[in-house]
Amino acid sequence: MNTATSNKGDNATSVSLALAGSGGAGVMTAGNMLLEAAALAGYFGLMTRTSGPQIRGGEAAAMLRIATYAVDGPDDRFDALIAVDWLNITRFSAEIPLDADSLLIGDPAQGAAPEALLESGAQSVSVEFKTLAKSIKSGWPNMVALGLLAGFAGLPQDAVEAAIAKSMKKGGDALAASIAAMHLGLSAAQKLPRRMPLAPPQGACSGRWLVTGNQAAGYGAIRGGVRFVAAYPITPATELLEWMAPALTRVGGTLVQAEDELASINMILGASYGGVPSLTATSGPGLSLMIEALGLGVTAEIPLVVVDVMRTGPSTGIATKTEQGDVNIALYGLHGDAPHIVVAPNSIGDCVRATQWAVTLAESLQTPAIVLSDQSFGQARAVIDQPADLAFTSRRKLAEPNAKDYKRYLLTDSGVSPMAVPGMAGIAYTADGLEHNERGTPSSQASDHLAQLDKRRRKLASIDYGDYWADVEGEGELAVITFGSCTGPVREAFARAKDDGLHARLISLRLLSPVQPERLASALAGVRRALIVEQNHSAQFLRYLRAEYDIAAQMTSFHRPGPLPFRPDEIHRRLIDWSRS
Amino acid sequence: MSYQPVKFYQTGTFTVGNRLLPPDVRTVQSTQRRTNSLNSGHRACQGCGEALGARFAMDAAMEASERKLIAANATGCLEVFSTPYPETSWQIPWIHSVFGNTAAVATGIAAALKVKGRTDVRVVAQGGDGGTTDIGFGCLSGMFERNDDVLFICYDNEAYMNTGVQRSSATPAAARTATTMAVGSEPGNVFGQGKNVPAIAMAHEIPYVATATVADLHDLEAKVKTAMGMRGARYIHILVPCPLGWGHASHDTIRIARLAKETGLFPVFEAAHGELTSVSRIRHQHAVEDYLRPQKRFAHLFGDPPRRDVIDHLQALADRNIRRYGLLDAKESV
Repeated sequence: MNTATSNKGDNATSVSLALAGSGGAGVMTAGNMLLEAAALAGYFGLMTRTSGPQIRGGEAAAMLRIATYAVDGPDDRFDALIAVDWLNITRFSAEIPLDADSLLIGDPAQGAAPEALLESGAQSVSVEFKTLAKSIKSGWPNMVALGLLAGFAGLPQDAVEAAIAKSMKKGGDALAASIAAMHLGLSAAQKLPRRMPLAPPQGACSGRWLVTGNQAAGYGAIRGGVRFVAAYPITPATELLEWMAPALTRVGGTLVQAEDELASINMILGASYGGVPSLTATSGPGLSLMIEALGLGVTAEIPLVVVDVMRTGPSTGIATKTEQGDVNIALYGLHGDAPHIVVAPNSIGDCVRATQWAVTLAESLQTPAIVLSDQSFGQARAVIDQPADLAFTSRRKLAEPNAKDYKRYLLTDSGVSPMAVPGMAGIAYTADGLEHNERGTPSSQASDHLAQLDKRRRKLASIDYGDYWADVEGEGELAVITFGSCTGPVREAFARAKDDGLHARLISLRLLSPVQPERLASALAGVRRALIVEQNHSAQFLRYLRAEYDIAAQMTSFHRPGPLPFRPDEIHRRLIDWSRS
Repeated sequence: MSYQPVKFYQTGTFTVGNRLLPPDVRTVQSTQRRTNSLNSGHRACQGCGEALGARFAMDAAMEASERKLIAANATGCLEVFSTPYPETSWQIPWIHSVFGNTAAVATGIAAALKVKGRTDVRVVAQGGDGGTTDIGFGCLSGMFERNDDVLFICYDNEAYMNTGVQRSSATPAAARTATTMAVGSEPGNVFGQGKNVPAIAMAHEIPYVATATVADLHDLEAKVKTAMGMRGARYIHILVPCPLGWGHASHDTIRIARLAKETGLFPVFEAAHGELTSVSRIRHQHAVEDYLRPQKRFAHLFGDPPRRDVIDHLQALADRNIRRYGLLDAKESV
């Protein structure tokens, strides 16, 4: 992997570009086209977006990183920021770091660049997008900006044209005008004081995907066998439900938009009780509402999958931005002793596998599973290599019709007991939130309570979770333990730290619950010190590790809240300081 | 200053301006006393019906309560566009109650005021159609049933606009949203019964239920004033067109709201203790097509060939409303 230090000159390996403008300026459209063009040209890429609340009329920015290698997170800084207008752009200055090597491209007709941006030392460049766009009938400034950025990064013209054509399926004059406007941007780019043409793409680009984390999770769910989804709109999980609605129809499934989160979680509870693998997607406030039903799923042993696309909390928080603050509620939010599964994908591609895995675990272990995704996966689009199909194949263990002396909650060695689906002859049972005996009959006997508690805990320990419980990489006496969207930036920081002679292990935990003490102990064998990296204010992940694991290594926390993403340099510097301390 | 009453033939029509009216019937909004409870500079879209409705409703409520008013607000467009720093537009004590519980939070505020003996301070709860008809419905029904001293205002833009136009139980039949796409043999939202919350509120026999649109702001203010003159649970349901979600021109918000009423699709009425007490009759009846055509969310009905069957079905719903509420009695129809 090449790093930013080798990133100067004509053969850039990673270029970061931002496009900002007021609502309706079309910066997201242009950003998506740029990413598509990069994909068509054979590059990898990642686009995140920032905006006010999801409503027209606010300012927005598309932030792209285009690289010759796969990228799982943002770079440290931006090489160029194009502002179609300056409206409220200083709100993004923390999210779009610039420096003396950056270009700040604006339209003089929109006035001078704000002081707050110029303070970064970025070189200010004037390009008259509006005038250029107006020189073409129905030309738009955002297409000029698209051409400028494509020219800056040296993307081939035919890929950009193809990306525009792909987006504007109706074609005709509008398409021709957009392409013409883009060409004006391309030629204007030749006059920029600096350009960063990307090195030629490496390897074959066939079989790559351009997806968001929400789409990836939805696809994983379908691959895992989910055929019913009930959900309620909530930023940043809504796209999952929008993507799932037509996708489910194609595989013979169905989606219901519920009237609230209580309804959506209980609908999937009903559907799963009825025998269909089911899922819902939400974010923190919705998960809070769903907790009671998850407890019912644990007790009545009904498989459920909830994808929690974490956002900045608590309460409404910052609905459009990311944070890893739901560790506590996902692990410990349920009342009583309620063992369940918590899985955290650690890249956009991993959203496919982790969700598929969560579905098969929930189904085979007959218990709820929570997938901890977050906004920086869910609403980001990335060009990724097609994720390998790990072929998670375990399914729900069903009872035989007319089974003799059927006991739904039979105390088996594994703790998993065959489940009857309503309609199977001769084996009707009562599924109950009340504590029950083996037959499902409510019971307040201490012995039944203990036996069922043991059974529900035992079944989670009954299977081998395999190598997929975590990503473990590297060697040495130092380790970084992290999870979810911190993993990409940590991995990139590791690559840079290698140049400083720092060798350490990376452990990105995917299976947060049930805990895997032996596996973690073996992954940490010989490790003296561990740095715990997470994005929340109270080091929830560190507290979880302390509470659940007996870790001999000395643990140091590196945590801070969202919504700003971790950048590789921030982690790299911390790694060096920590390793030398 | 003495006032010479002027009798213009337009008085009482849609076209009359405030200056032509006697001072006591001018809108609160047109006076210098208006409180600007929701002031300018917020980030609602151009032509937002909800911003307009909320401004008129809240200023009228402030006037009626002698500026002693507390508002609880559900999650939704109104909350989102009126609060982000530095564009906070509320000039009154205001609490964001999260999504499904506005009515309950307002009930709590009213209870606290009762305990403290502050009968002078009044409480308004407000939410969009999602926060009212879907997720907030349980708490709202509880508030009605207990007859808590709260005026609940629903600004109905007929879908979840803030998260990107998903359907709600107030979304009309056949309308396209992000979750009821215009595909298949019955494109758009299903033809169900919908959820008629004004009628459900009436079934609770609360003291006052009214509907209004932003096309008749005099009427809207008068209804808020009436409601604020009473105690107990009161409910006002205001139709607020959304240019973004409905796909009409932003300068057409008022026209679309008026057509909703003039076609009979949105009946405008008042009710007390479960009985209908007044109805705003249709002045110039329009076919539903006139209402549907300017809105992109119904564009799939006007393809080639047009979906005459669906349009007729919608017309039948309008005709049913006209019959049910007596929107077009023989005397008034032209």
